[in-house]
Amino acid sequence: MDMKTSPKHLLMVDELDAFGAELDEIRAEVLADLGERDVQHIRHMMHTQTLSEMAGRGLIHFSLGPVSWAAGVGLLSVSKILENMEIGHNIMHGQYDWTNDPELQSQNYDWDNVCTADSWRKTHNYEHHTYTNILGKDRDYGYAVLRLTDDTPWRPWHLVQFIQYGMLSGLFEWGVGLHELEFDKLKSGEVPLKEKIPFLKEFAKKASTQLTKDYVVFPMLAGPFAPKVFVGNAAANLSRNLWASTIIFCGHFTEDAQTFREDECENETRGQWYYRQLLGSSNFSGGKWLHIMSGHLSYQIEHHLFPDLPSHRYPEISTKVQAICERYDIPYNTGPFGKQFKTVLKRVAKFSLPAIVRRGAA
Amino acid sequence: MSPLSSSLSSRFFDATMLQPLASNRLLSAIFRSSNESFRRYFDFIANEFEPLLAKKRIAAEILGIIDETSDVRTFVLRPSVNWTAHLPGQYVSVEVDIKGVRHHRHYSLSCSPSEFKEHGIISITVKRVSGGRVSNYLHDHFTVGQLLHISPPAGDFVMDLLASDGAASRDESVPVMDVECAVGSSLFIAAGSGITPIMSMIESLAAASALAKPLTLIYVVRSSADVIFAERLTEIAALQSNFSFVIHETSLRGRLTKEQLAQHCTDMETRQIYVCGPYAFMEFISQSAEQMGAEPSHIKRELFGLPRTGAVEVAKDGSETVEQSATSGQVSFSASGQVVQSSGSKSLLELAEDAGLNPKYGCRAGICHECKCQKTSGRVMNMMTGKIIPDEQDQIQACISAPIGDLTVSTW
Repeated sequence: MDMKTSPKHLLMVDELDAFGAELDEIRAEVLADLGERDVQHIRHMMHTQTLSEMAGRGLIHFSLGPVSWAAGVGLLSVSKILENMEIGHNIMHGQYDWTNDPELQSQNYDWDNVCTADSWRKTHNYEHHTYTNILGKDRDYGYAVLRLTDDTPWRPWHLVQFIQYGMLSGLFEWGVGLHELEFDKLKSGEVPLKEKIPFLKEFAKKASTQLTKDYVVFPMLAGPFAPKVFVGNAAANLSRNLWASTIIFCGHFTEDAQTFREDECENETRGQWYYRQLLGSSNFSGGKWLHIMSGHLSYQIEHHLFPDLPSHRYPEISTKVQAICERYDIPYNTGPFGKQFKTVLKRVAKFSLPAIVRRGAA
Repeated sequence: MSPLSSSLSSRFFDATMLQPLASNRLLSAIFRSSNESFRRYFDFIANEFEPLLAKKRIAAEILGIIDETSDVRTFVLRPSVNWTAHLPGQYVSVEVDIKGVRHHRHYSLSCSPSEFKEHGIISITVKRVSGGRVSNYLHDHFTVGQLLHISPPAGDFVMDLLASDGAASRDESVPVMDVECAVGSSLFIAAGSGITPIMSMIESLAAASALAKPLTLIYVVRSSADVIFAERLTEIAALQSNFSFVIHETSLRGRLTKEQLAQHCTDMETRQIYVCGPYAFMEFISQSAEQMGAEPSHIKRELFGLPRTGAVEVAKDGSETVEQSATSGQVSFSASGQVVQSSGSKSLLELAEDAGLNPKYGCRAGICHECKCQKTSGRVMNMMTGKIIPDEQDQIQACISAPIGDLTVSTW
């Protein structure tokens, strides 16, 4: 496999097989050890989430002033973030399917998000996780609105792509929810709108349920105080959107996260697949709750190597993966949260200009 | 002495302590009329304070444990507010989480439904199965005060009631409480723990002041030490002149023969017959009874104990692997009715596609879980590891699962 951005880390095929086998071994060890501790973790998360949701909604409803209202918004935001990131995202990856518990089954779970669970599992679990960072195949790469590599042809509107980035972040759940629509392909006529009608019907159903819950039912329960509930719920949804987008951008769009061409990845072996996942992902460090609130996507590398292992295992897996990377001289992309996010912003800025202009300026 | 004197409720405590949980109806009404969010909150709060009020699942508190024999225990349970009385002979699916994995097993209810109606209690009677994960776990890890989760009562091994013209039928309009008036002459034949659903039937009939029709139980056990409910059966027989039972010990008298069966019941042709035990046992009883004049439609059966098939080897670490040669079989997709032959080398996903089905899939490499499907019977091997997937795991990844022998999948 030819890595254009980092040729010095070329691995030979037999080396990649050995590398793949070592990662398979880590996977097998964790699978053999799955048990009560994993169920306790996810149940604890679900318990905390429900408590903070009830407390948050309660405070928003019965707040006497701006401080208690803001505290309510904060708690509801925490609940929505926990539900989307650590609970929903991970359950829908099949991380707890082995428990046989219907509430923890990837195919049954539906999350507090306008994106339907079916669409999410298709665009995220399948497309993004299988074709990670392959340009033209991983539609999560830049979400078809951002230019993050010179392999994407430059267009004048990329100059102001910070605006698109801001909008995408603020409306993240809607972007994710409509991802399957493939708006760019509809516009170019590559895909006829007719093909997307079943998806749009399902999306409309889910979106209206979500909107009804946060913007009709709960506000109405507050009677004359409906507006503050409406605004509070909107604020919680917004903060969840901004947070989720930031975490996800730190996972694949940091400065050194690599991209791949379709032809490089044809007939990949398991080892090559692992290698691509590793080079295309980036971690960030932080405390326990930063990891939890990011759904352990702070361990994006481990998540991409083992998307269906329970997320709270990633910290312990990470130590082993780092040791393997060191032995094979593979870069392990990590750093403090703030630093990693800064490189994301840098990347968005950098590629808003065409390569030729950047070279001229340098 | 009333026939109920040593029934379940009085066997271990004062039944007046037990009243059905109050305000059940009000809570149910609130629950039914609320939306999903509120139901979730409701169950959350219920589980915090009183799990027996939770609505989504049926919780049951263990009120007492009775040792019936050295390896059989009766668990007396107080089910939560959403339990509805069972029909004698029905079972529940009991959920047990072992090492984080949820297991389900069916256990017959061994008490009369009136125990629930009058005292709010039910019971299941569990025999330890050698190597059985759930039965041993129930025996070893559950104590009084703990909670179990159970399904609503299910199963059609229930008593046929006599219509006014004397013909047997199951008439839903006959209240269960009056069951003893509507049941004809009956013969119960149980082997081992197969007594449990039959005990529920006998208890419900014995609740009548006097049994109108003859009632006979033939109870086949290995030895006298294995007789479950021995005292209670003796007691019912003393109170009800129309009830009689005979215990056949195979350690003394060998297998029950057709001649012995004929001795124990001389009017086979007039009886409603209820048989519960292993498959071969029930086959033998049915054939013999028919030869003695019993109507085939008057024989009801409930299978206890499933045979394990397939040439499976258990490795030292307890994991099971399988010989490739023993893996061919027939794969049935119950949603579409399609059936294909499997040699054991193709994945379930490929087989479904061979059958002309259009299963949902994604990566086809065991990564994305898009092809998860529901296995209803049979076993599969994880093609990536060569290991057998545990029988309990009924949600399987089709793209990396190869059937071992016959398999049924309900998803496609």
